[in-house]
Order: sequence, then C-alpha cells, then structure tokens
Amino acid sequence: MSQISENKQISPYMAFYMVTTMQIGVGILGFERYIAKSAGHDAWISVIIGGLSFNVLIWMIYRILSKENADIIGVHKNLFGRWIGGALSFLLLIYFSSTILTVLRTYIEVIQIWVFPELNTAVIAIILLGLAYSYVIGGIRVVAGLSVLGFFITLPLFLLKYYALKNAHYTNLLPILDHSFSDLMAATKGVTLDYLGFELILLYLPFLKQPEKSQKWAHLGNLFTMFTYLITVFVSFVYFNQEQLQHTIWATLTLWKIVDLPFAQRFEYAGIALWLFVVLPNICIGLWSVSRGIHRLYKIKQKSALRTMLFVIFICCILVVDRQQVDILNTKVSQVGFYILYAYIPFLFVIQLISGKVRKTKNG
Amino acid sequence: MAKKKLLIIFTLMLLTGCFPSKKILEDVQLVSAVGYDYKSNNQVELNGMVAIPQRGEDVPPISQVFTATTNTSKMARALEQAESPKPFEIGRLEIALYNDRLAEKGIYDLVDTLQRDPSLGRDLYLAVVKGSTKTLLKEQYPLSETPSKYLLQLLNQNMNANIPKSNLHDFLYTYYGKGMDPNLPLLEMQGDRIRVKGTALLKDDKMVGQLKLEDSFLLKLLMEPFEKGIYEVKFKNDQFFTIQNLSSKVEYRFKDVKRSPSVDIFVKIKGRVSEAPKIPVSDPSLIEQLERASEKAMDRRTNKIVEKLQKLNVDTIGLGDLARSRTRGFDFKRWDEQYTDIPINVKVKVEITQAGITE
Repeated sequence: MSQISENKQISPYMAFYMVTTMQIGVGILGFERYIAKSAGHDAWISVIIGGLSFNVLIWMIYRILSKENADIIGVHKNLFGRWIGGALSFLLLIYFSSTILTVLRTYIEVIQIWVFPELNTAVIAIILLGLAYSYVIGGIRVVAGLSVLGFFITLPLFLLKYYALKNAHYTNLLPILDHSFSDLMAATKGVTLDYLGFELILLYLPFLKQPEKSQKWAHLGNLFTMFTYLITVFVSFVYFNQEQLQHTIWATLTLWKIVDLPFAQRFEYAGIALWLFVVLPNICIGLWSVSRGIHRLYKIKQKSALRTMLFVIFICCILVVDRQQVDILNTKVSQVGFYILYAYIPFLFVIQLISGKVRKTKNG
Repeated sequence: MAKKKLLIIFTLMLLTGCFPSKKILEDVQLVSAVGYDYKSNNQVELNGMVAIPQRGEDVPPISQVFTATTNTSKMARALEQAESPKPFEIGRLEIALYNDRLAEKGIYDLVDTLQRDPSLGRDLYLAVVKGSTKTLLKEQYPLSETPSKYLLQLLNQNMNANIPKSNLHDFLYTYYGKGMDPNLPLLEMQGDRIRVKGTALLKDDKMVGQLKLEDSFLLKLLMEPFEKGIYEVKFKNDQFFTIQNLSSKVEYRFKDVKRSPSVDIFVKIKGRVSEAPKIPVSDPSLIEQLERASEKAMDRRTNKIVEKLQKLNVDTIGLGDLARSRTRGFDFKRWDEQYTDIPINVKVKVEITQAGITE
C-alpha cells in the first residue's frame, strides 16, 4: 500500500459516503414490490436482517484485504498465482462493469418512462458517460468528493415521505411476524440485492488513508443504507396495500407524485433529475475502480482503460432495448452479485485463513 | 488540442437534434376533466373538457368539450385530435367522471389508462354521474368559470364534510386491496347546478348500490375520523335539530375472527347543536335528551347502512382488512364467504359540547 502517495489518498471517513452511495442506486426507486412478494408486510424485518448480514461481509472484506495489505487483485495474485488469480480478477472486473451498466441503463429507463418517452438511449448515455468521464479523470479524490455532494443533495428527499404519511394506513403493518421464517429468508435474499455495490471497496481500499480506521465508517455507511431502506419500505407499506404494491413498479417514484408543493405540482420530475446526484457518483466510483483494476492487472494506462470501458458500456447500453431486458439485466447482475458476496467472499476468507496457516507452518 | 475540443463541442451541438421536442403551454390544450358515457356493450363515449384561456386580463377561460366514441380511451383521444386545433395534454387532468350505466358495467379498464400514464397525478378525483357526463361537462355554470373547476371545488368541499374521501389513489387502494371495496361520490346535474347525490358503492370496479347524502355522512363516520359535516335528527313530533360534527372517532372490535366472527363498531361524536328551532337548548337536562335522541337515530340508521352493505356484499368500510391486521394467519376466503352473515353492531355515542353563542 505504500506505493500510493498520500496526496492521492482520501480520508478514512470517506468510506461512509462511498459505501452508501454505491449501495443506494436506482434499486431503491422500486425495490419494495420485489421484497414484498415473499414476506408481504413483514419484509421490513428482512431489510434489517439483510443489512446486518452485510456488516459481517464488510468485516470479512477488511480482514481479507488487510492481511495481504493489497487490493483484491493483489490478494488474488498472492493466493492463486498469476494466471488463475488474474482470471478471477478479470471476472470480478466484468461483474463490476456490468453493475455500472445496470445502474446507468435503469436510470435511463426511468427517464424514458417517466419524463421523456421519445428520448434516445444513445444520446442520454453519451451525455451521462461524458459527464462521468470528466469526473473520473480527476482521480479518486474528485470522485469521492462527488459522492459526498450527492449524499447531501439528496438527503432532503427524506422529507418528502411526510406527504405519504399524511395518508397512511398504519394497520397495514399489522400483525407483525405473520410470515414464516422461510418467507422472511426469501425476502432477505431479495433485499441483499439492494445492498450490493459496496464491494467495490475491494478495489479502492488502498486509496483510503489508514484503512483500518475506515472500517468503522464503512460499517456506518452500511447502517445508514439500512436505515434509508427501512424508512422507504415502511412508508411504502403504510401508503400502499400489498396487492396494490404488486402493481406498482416504482413505488418510491409514485410516492413523489403525491408531493403537493405550492410551486410544483409534479415533484417526481424534480426528483428524477435530483436522482442524477445518486446515479452519477455511483457510476463514477465504479468507473474509477474498474479502470484502476484493469490498470493494475494489465499494466495499461488507467486513462486508456477508462476510455475503452466507456465505449464498451456505451455499446452495451444501446443494446438493452426494452423494459423486459432491463429487468433481466437487473436480476441477472444482482444474482451474480449475490453469489459473489455470500459465496465467494466467505470462500476467499476461508482460503486465506488456510493458506496463511500453511505458509506459517512452512516458514516455521 | 483546441481542434479536438472544438470537435467535441460541435458533436454535442449536433446531438441537440436528438432531443425530445419541447411542449409549450400555449401550443397545447390542457384537458382538465374527462367524462365517459356508456354507448353500447363494448363502446364508450369519451368527453374531454378543455379550458381555453382567453386573451386579456381577468377574462375567464371558456370551456369546450370534445367527444369521440371508441373501444379504448386512448384511441378516443386520438380521434378527438381530428377536431382540435392543438394537441391534447392530459397532465393537468383533475377529474374523471363515469356515467352510472357505465359504472354498473365496470370502470377498471378506463381507470387503468389513467393510472398507467406517468404524467398524471394521484390526487385526481373520480366520480360517478347520474345521466350523461357529456351534458354535465358541456353546461356553463354560473357558480364557476368552468365545469372542471366547479367539480373540483365541489368534491373537495364535500369530501371534507359529508362524503368519504376518495381519489385515484384511494380507488386503486381499495380496488386492489383485499377485504375492502371502493366507493366513489355520486353526482347529478340539476338545472345549472351539480349536486352531490351521495356515495356510489362498488364491488370490484362495478357499481352495485348507492347511499343518500345523509347516509354518506354516517358511512364516513364508520370509515374515518373527521370533523365537520351536519346531520339532522328528529326530536319529538315536528321538532328537528341539526348536529354539527366537531370531531369523530371510530373504533372496531372483532370477536372470534377465525371461527364465527362478529364485529362491534363504536363511533364517538363530539358535536354541537347548530340549529334547533323551537327547542330551548340552554337547558342542561335537555341537552342530555338531545344526545340520547341523536344516538338513537344514528344507531338505527348506521345499522341499516351496515345491513345494506352486507346485503350488497360490499365491504366499503374495509372490515376485512381491519380483521386481517388483527389476526394472525387470516383467511380471506373464509371471511369473504362469511361476510354477508357476520353480525355487525354499530354503537354511536354523541356528546354535545356547545349550542352556539346565545342562551
């Protein structure tokens, strides 16, 4: 880690913003109905279970990285050698790139469905990616700063929940725990998909000053995400009933519809525009981390890696045409993410424990 | 480098051609109310009311109605376009009216087009109209500039006082939700006025019955806490007095939901006597008599209403959902089967706190 000069690093508390920004993406605009499918009005319990389980994963990731004192690419190399390790890193980078693609394409879809139906995907993709490029080129400090900015700009959106609570049916949440344990677990699996994203820390952790200090902030970031989801789910559940929720694709966006300000009748347009401050840092952190990963893996200049990536993502973005494809993209990417986090990370953790012991006995 | 930058800027400028065209307020026609009339079994007549602003200050807009007949409502709008000098925009739609015959056939398909459209708000009012919505929308009312504005104020005012609250969201909430059924305000045109006749009771999306305006007030008491609203009670022979509701609360008690359910509904009203000709209301013992009298009258009437709801097999109050929220492992199927025979008992308690400023 010593090879990264201090003027390129960011403060440990930045982990808080970077973790929440990456977790809260476009999923929150409509994840309620997916988790409610299996656990109904008890799905908020799953939000808590899911959130807490991610704290364990964060702890694992920090243990894995701090032992080798490197990013995931270094860890792969140390544990599996150059070729297998390289291949694993490559697959991981592809997964990360597809998460960027998913966020970008879903956001574009939201714009197309809610605001400009005739908007061309390519046009808005070029603009967003161009914007992202101009930030990423500034380095991780700029990207991290953007995520702080996005965090504070979108924080007031919480206040809008007030309008939904005015019309709330609190009995919708009763009776508590009316679903079986397996229902709750199925919903927990669904909700973990919305906590995905923080695993990019595998790539940018060496850029945090005193990484061990940042762990606390990463945990807090995850808890903040949990808190956000909890409020979102709670409000959507008391405003819609379960059957209605199943007919509502974007529950949170639909809730913005009822915001009735004296100067703006339709808040959802402003909300979707503001959401750019959630999506943009999300894309930027992703782009920066992956291009950094490619740079580490293949000794290509980070800038050229970034440009190639932008091009590939742009092409993929145009290839996804309709709602069904966007939906498939979302589900597939989240499924892969689910296994990477719940299977691969623990696997890596165990392998490292074993190989550490083997190395010790060899040396001793 | 400079050349490169110029090239980028130039490319970006070319991109502007790909952007969606702008919508300018003066160039579109904002539909503020729509009415659907029954035409034949699978045809609907759609009437869109447009308020056209006039030149000059303080000149009220004039309203125009465009009509078309077709199978689906979107198609109808396309047909209307043929008569209209400007394209229609429905983003500012405030009211959707359904003719009573159509409402008896079912209105979900028509409401669905409204909920699907992202440009529409959720606080849109829906209402059932006795008779043709076309004539109702075409009429010029002296009470307000345009029919849509009139309707908006009328419904707004009445939902605060006498009829249950209901807008697009509430309709969808009760339509989709299990253990509850929608209700909509029922309107009728009378000369140059529009009257709230009462409440239309719906089973799924079909109107199956209706309540008078006085009964709508009592139904509202059973459904939601509210203040305002006036109810007239007969007191001895030809003496009448009216109670104004200052605040009301409703409580539900369910017994033995899983086997043979029974429901008790307790309504508590705090009110004041707003009109009592020929009755000396300053007498405290008389106040008590008035309370008992109004309790008795309301008890009888509300129990009648509940009976009617059960007879029609509509759960407008949402008792099924309330029972679900209090019972683990609630069985909707069983409840629905039992609903019409469940003993439901309403008990009204009236407390008169004031009787005006004179003694």
